[in-house]
Amino acid sequence: MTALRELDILLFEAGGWLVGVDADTIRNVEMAPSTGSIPHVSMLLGSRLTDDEADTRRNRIFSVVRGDAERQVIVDRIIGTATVAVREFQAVPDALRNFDTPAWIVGLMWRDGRVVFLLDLFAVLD
Amino acid sequence: MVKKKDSKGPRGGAGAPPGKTADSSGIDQAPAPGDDQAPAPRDDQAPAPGDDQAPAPGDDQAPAPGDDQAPAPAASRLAAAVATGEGSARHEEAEAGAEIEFLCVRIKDRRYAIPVAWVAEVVTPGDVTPVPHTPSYIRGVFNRHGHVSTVLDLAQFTGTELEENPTRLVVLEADSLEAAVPVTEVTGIVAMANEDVAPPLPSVAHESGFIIGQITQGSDILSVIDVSILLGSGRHTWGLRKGE
Repeated sequence: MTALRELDILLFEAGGWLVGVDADTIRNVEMAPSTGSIPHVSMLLGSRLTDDEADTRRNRIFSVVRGDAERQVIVDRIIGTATVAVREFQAVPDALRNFDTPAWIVGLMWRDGRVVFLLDLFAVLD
Repeated sequence: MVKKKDSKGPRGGAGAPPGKTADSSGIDQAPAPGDDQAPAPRDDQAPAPGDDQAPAPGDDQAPAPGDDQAPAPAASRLAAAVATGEGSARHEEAEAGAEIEFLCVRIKDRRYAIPVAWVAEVVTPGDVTPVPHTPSYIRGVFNRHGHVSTVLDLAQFTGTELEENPTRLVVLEADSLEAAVPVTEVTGIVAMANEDVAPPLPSVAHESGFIIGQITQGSDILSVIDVSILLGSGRHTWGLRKGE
């Protein structure tokens, strides 16, 4: 079995953070004309919605899947997908893990001088 | 057999007596970002393979960290902790009379002394990205030579206000753990005889489990930080101690 060398990542902004999730777990990206009761990732991450984020014209809605389960979330701005070499991923530092960092932050990476938080988005929703 | 450390340490200054700051000019003399004279945790003073870092039987100068069988003097605990820390392995410092070098810092109105063996480098604060859903004393992460490093706000961690205007980040390493602490000021480096490190005040020791001693520098009292405890046990040790 060949080790995974690259992974497709969906990159988006949420709460001022740059977030990456495994693109294979994402389905049905579409416009979000109304938010309804669907959670906004910014709020899940503990941020208040900015005016831009509350402006539904920029919002996108998509589904996160795990097995047969599926959940919908809203994000403010999808940057796009990127194929990233796995060697670019960095584990969450142990010193950070020791201080109650959420387990759903599964890794980190740098992109254009910014840190990307690689999330298990389904776990965030749980 | 351990070596006796030269009393003229690289930062002790020629003839600088113990307890005197070798460099009173402060921050300009402190290890600068990228300064390759910054104390390297894996320096060539590390004991050779097979050189047992544990104290020899009967050696009451350097009990193992966590050995609470006897009321070990603070200096001995510190020396043992430093000597057994992965970041330092300065075996000879466990010897009585040996000197320990401390990086002296001020964080708001509190002063701390950090054994240099645990200091990887001192850098200028750059962009720090907050981390979602972490305690307030985790300021975030920053890019340290291409890898992610944690910024731990010691002022918040000890229950005081956030240090809002740090001039430096002191990068600490111990037991494969690494974090940077924002400081208001680096005040210098001081070399202290092992036995001149006093036990911490009970109130301080009780409140902050990572404070394992205190030293005097002029009219100031500096709390000695055990970086291994600070980074390894984190809030949990601190919380347990507070709940005792």
